[in-house]
Amino acid sequence: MMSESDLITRVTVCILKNAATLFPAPDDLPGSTLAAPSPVLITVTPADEPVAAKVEVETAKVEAETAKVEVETAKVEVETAEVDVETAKIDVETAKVEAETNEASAEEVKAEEPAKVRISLS
Amino acid sequence: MGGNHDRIQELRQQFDLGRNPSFDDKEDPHVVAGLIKLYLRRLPEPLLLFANYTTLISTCRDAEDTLPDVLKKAIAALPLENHLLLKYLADFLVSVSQHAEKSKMGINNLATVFGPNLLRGTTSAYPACWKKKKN
Repeated sequence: MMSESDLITRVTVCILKNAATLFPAPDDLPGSTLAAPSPVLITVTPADEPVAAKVEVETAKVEAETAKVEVETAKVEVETAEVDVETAKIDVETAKVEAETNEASAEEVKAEEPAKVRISLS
Repeated sequence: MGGNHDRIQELRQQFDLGRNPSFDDKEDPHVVAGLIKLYLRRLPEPLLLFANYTTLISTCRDAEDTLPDVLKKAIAALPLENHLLLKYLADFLVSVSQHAEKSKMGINNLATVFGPNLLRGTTSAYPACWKKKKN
């Protein structure tokens, strides 16, 4: 004696083996104006609705938090960029000072050179 | 082999929220199959309708050679949405079965997996069948 689940399987096997002949053409279906199956949507059952709504609220909250964090990150990035600009300015100033110092040293060396020549000649 | 439960629930939630998640070739086929089964299982009434259960089961048990004719009549009388979805699913499963050499999912195995999601009675709900098999 076959079990209920075996019988269900056999009915399903019969459907699959005879799929080509079991289904009338779409045009022959009563009230059918469809040529092809319409997309299948999974609908929300009443029991799921509160859960789905809760999930949507939670998702919105998380998205809002994410947006806040993104704004804060952007602020920090702007501040970092400002600091970088200041650092670059300082570097330029430092370079100028170094250049001036080098020039001054060169002048000093030039001024000292004749004395050295004189010393070497004597 | 079942798909990842969390991923199936995640996709289900997206559908329930009216979103339309896209599936690329990286998606685990077991997840997609699990999602289809979950959808069919959660329908308020099975695709083949409660009303056809007794007739189909008793025909299968007592006069299996007449089953195709009985099925044809039952399918012709289904609501349009059920009819179209069942046809789509049957065509799809037949096409899946053509790769049985690789997947080991021939018509019999596919029927074992999908059958309880398509046909069940009001009193003998399919979980009872599953429990019976497990025990």
